[in-house]
Amino acid sequence: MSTLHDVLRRPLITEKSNYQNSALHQYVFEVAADATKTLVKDAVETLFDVNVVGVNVINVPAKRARRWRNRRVLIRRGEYKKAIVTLAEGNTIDIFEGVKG
Amino acid sequence: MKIETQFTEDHQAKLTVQFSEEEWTGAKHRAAQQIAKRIRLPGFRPGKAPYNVIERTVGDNAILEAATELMVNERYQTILQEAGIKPYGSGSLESIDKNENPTFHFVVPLEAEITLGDYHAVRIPYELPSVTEDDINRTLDRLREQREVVEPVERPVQAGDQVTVLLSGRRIDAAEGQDSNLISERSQTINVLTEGEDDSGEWPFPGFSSQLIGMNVGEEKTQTYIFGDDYRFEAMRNMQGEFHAVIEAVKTRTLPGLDDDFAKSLGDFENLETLIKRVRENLTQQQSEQYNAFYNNQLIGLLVDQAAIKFPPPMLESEMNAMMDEFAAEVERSGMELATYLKTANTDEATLRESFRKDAERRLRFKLVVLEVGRREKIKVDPQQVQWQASMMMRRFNQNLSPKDARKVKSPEFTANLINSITADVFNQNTIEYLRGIARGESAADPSLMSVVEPDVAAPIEVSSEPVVEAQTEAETAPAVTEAAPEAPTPETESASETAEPASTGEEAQS
Repeated sequence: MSTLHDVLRRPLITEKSNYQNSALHQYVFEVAADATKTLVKDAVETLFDVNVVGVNVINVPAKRARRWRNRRVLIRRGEYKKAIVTLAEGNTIDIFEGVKG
Repeated sequence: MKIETQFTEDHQAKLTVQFSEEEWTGAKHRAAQQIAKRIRLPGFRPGKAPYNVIERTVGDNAILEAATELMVNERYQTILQEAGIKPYGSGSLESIDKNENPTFHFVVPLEAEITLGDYHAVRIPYELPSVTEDDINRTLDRLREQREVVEPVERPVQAGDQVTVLLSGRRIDAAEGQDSNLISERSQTINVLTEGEDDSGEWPFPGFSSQLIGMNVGEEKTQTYIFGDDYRFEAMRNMQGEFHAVIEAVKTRTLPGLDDDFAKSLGDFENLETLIKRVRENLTQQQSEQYNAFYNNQLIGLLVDQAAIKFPPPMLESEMNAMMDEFAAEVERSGMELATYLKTANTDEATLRESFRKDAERRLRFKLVVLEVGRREKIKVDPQQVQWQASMMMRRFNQNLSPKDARKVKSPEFTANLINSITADVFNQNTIEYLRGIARGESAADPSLMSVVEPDVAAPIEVSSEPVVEAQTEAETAPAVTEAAPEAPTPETESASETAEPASTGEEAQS
């Protein structure tokens, strides 16, 4: 069982998350595999001092890929759990500032 | 966009430019976009990353730099236009005051400003010196000297003989650590001067050969000599030298008689008269060329003095560069590399370049004045003349260059450059001709002088103003004694001949 502090692994900053961020007021994190929606909500609320309206969780399956130089070798990109957190209006997280406290 | 213009004393403009906030932010965003296309950010397709992401990854400064470049490239022309200045060349971005909305400081060299004096009122008498009999005789004597017959004899040295001596020399007053060696021991051929002959150019010291008179083969003699204050080589002034000479051989010199046979021996001359005629022609041409150069120099010098000329330092710099290039080419023609020359002359490139500064400035002023007169008088260039000269030039290249170089020469770029520079030359010549017309008090230029004087390549005899024989021995012997080697062209002599005909570059002719 993980504590509040190791629920959130890292923010995901991609084109898509950027869009969700600006248009839908959602923030995307990679979270611990055993994290639940409630845990994520509590973690975000305590760590960033914001109000969370909703949390969506997706298990991103592992991806298979070939090695860049040697295409014969198969590599596996690990699976992870992704949480999309919708914040209440007026609340923001500066993702890049990292975790407070 | 706010622009403040300040004119500096050296004919440059200092511009202080501040863009409006929207302009600047827009530029920063466009710069970020461009950066985004270049870099790969995980999670983003190239070029799709938003501004704040880029700012965080590459940093403020990178965006600032890119934005500056963008703005300068885009707006420079507009800035110049709005500031209302005519630039000579590319300006430089001196500094940027960094803050939210940065201020840029440019320094732009301005186009040269030439205010001509009243050049229509300039009058300089044109007095072409005529060739005198003396001149011709001197040339003939020199030719005879070149053809002299040397025969060994067994008798003491007499005036006028040619003597081979084993010569060595050293400094008596050499300070400790200084090299006392002046001439290392070697055989040397020396002409014994006859009485009354000018001995100031004699080697190793004036009056040396007269001391040898009366000596027999095998005899030796040691002479000391103190070089005077006014000796030609500065390095040797006030030096005390001791010279030891052993006579090795005595030879008589017999000059060929001044007759038809002598004329025939020189080449394609039927008799003495044709030779003299040819010598006279050559001398006349040479003298008129010399005088014309001198006259032009004087004339344009006068105009330069009358005119108020303002030019920015970069203009002078580029002129200095041009002179440097010419000098390097000159050195290379004499079979030396510039680096080697610099080593022997004990100098470096920067010093050499700096030494051109005064001459370059003079040349530049000449050039600007001629250009301005030409522009004002709308001097025309005859395209046919250009064509003709260009084809002449090409033919000469074809003859003189290796096939590989010749192919390079035939490239369109080279031809364009050639035509440009010829056009500029012709333009200058025509302008000078026009000015000469004024100065001589004629209304129009003499058309016969408009044609270009082509150096006669096929001329079999070289009638130069320099004594040929002396010049050779000097070049061989002088370096051993002093470092002032006369064989390499000095900046002074070169520039003197250059200023006579200020050559212009292609760009200027087009402008």
